[in-house]
Amino acid sequence: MSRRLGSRVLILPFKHSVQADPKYAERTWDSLKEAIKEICKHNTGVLSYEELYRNAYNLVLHKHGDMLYNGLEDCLTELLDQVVRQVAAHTDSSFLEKVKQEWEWHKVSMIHIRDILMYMDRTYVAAKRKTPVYDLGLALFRKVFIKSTLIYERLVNGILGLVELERKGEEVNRQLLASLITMLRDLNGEQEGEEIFYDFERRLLKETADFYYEEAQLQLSICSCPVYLRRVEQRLVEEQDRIQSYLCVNSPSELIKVVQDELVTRHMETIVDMENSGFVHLVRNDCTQDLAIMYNLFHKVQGGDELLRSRLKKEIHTQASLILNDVDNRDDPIRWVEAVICLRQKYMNIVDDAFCHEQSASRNTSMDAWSLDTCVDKKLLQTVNDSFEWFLNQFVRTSEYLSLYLDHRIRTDFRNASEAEMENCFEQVILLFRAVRDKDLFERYYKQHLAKRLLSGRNFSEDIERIFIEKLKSECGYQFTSKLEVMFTDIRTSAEEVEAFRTALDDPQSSLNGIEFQVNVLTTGCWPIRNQPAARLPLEMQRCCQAFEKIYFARHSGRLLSWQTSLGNVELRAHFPSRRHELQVSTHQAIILLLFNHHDELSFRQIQEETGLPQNELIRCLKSLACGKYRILCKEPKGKEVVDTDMFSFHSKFTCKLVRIKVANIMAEKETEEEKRETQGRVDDDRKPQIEAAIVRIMKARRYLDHNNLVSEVISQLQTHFVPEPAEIKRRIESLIEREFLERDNNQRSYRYIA
Amino acid sequence: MKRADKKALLELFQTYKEPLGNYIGAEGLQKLFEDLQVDPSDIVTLVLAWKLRASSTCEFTETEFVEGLANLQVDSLEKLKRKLSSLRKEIEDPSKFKAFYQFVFQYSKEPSQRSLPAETAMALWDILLRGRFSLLDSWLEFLKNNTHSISKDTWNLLYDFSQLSETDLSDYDDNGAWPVLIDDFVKWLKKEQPNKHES
Repeated sequence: MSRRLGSRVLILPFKHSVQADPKYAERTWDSLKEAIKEICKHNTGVLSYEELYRNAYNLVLHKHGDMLYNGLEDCLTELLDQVVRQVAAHTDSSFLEKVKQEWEWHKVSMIHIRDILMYMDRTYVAAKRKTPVYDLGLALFRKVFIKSTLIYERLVNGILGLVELERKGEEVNRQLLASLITMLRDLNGEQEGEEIFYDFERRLLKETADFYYEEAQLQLSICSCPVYLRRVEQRLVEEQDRIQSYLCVNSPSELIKVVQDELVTRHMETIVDMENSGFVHLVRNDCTQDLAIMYNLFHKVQGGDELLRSRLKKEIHTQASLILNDVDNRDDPIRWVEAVICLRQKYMNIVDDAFCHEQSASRNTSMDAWSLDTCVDKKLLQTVNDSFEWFLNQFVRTSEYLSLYLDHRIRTDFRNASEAEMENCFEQVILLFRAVRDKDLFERYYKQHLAKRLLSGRNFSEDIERIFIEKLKSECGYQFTSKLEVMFTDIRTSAEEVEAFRTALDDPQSSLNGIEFQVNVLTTGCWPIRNQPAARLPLEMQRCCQAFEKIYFARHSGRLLSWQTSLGNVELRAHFPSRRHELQVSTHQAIILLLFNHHDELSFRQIQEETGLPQNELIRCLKSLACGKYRILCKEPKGKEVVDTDMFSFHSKFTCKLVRIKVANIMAEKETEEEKRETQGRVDDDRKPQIEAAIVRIMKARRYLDHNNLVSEVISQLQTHFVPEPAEIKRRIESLIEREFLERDNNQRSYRYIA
Repeated sequence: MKRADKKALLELFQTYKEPLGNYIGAEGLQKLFEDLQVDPSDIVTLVLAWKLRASSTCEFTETEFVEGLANLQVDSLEKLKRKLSSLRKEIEDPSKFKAFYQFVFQYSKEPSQRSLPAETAMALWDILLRGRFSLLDSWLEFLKNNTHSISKDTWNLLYDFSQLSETDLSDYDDNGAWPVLIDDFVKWLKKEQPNKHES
């Protein structure tokens, strides 16, 4: 300022009144506080960012950070309290929306506030280790707003209520739910009392459990098993969808598990055992789709797999026992085996189609893509195999029937069968063979039946036989099949012998009486044939044999031939009064019939004397000639059984449409009880040296071994052929101790090899 | 103690030996036992045989008799009589008893056979195991119908079996290394007397 007094002008310096104004801080804070309130009311338009920032800056600079920070906290708390009351006043229908809205707004406000107070954040907050502004805002929101008693319960109940509605099938606002749940998650704190999201999760799980508990009760009372399973599947899909969409829990698998527990695990047995629609029903009716659903659900819960396995096992046992106990099946080998094969195939199909699960992804190199392997559930497959193994070994005639079945198929079906059918048949037989424990018993029957096939005189196909033998070889090793080779060779050389015989004869017609004569020369020991004394042949046949012998012995010196009449067959031309028939009969039957060329009537005893046939064989032959389909002989008294007081005569009134009549063939048939015992006895005898050889082998290698280990080693060595009884092994061990191959050790549970 | 008088033993031997052979036979033994006032079926006669290392039943060779008794410090009947009671005590020791028991098999069987006829075995068991094997009577009963001859292995192991805690046979492991005959016995026993032998 200047004054006009004379000619002097005074210029005074500008005096700015910078006082340490105590009220400066308070005033600044007040204006900030107002600004904050405006921000929270979304009236940011009237505010100047720079001015506010500068005010905050100055406060912090002048060491008023505490006032600013605490003031902020108080201000926000107060504001939020108001918001609480506002929101709480809303009705339920708009309550959740309001909460969401307030949350969104709050976030925006806090960003603004943070921006203004950024200097404080960077300096004061960092130095004093306080919560940064934004986080403080969130914490306060949680503490004041969410956790307010007016809000929290309503909020959580509201959310859960909507979820329940959706589960019941109504449409709900998913976005709203997503926001709210995300909000809870974002606001979740670490300290006790702050874990609002964990609390919410716990409530959610409980509600879920309750809901699905009820659901299960309801559905189980009205649905059949497959329908229920489908509903469960659907529910699981829905829940997954819910989780993806808005139910962003920390552990989705836990939620799913709760659903599974309530719908499946709790009621596993009820589902499976449901009458007329449960597991057994589905299996019996091959409902593979339903079973697949069941499997997928049960596979994922604890105990599901075991339950299915146990029910499957029980069912197979039931069905298999039905086959076992059916008398018709037991008496007919073909039916029995076919029933077993059929049953097995059924379960294999079910396992293949229904009981698969996805394996880990694998690279499909040919297509250069990733693919999911589905693989069959191994344990269920094992259950099927084990059940069949149990069942097949229950029945004593399994080995015999299996071989008879094979024999039947080879003889009858394979003429016209395709290679695929044949292959399939062999595969089935081998699969059953694999399960049989007494493999040596099967081998014995197989050999017998093979021998009969080879000797039957009809064309057998070496190729077909060899295919099966190859399969046996890969199952059991080559020692078994090496003996069979000799059988085939014998048949071939026999043909050559007969050729040589025919050419060597000077006058075939007269030396053989016009009989066409065929011989099979068999190497002793390689054929499953017991050397039996020959029956008394009629003169004509004897002459043929002698003629053959003469030439044979000339070709091969030092050999012995013993004629086996039980295995031959004969074609007889029979002149009945009505017409001529050609009868195909066994040698023994022929011998008997030829007697009637010289006698009209003969008693049993007379026939026995003339033919020299043993009692059983004679009875069997006479039965087939007099009591069977074609009655070539008449029996007095009439009847189905032959006893030694019967009389027999030529049936002159015999008629038949066919010219060629097969009365009997030497073909494989089911053994009588007695024969079966004999065969079993022979097999048992064969096993003894095998067991002993195994024991010696093992002890020689080990020198010293305890009892239990020895027994299990023996079993494992022999089990490709048969499974020895531990009691029998013990007996063999004792026998070897007697013969001083082994000795007991002092502690007496072990053995030592004596070199 | 002064050494046994071999001359005295030889004379003793002469008293009992067979007229035509150089050994004490069945008759001689009978007389010997009479003189010793010992029942021929008394177990101590077998113990004596064991101590003398006799090789076959109802027979003592000169060497066995003379050398054997000399080793026992016995050279007269009196001394032998006294010795018998100490022999009885000796076999109370289980390890000695076991060796003795096993000896009896070898001693009792025919030299040409590998095993002992069941009847002989049963008689021997009655003498040897009386009071040491609570199931003895059941065992003998079982054997009546059940076998023809007893192998060395079975004989030896029966002793071990007798020493099991017998009253309930719960220790018995039938998948163990017991001979089949003993397995069968246990099975038979459980069937015959289910109350006593439940395990």
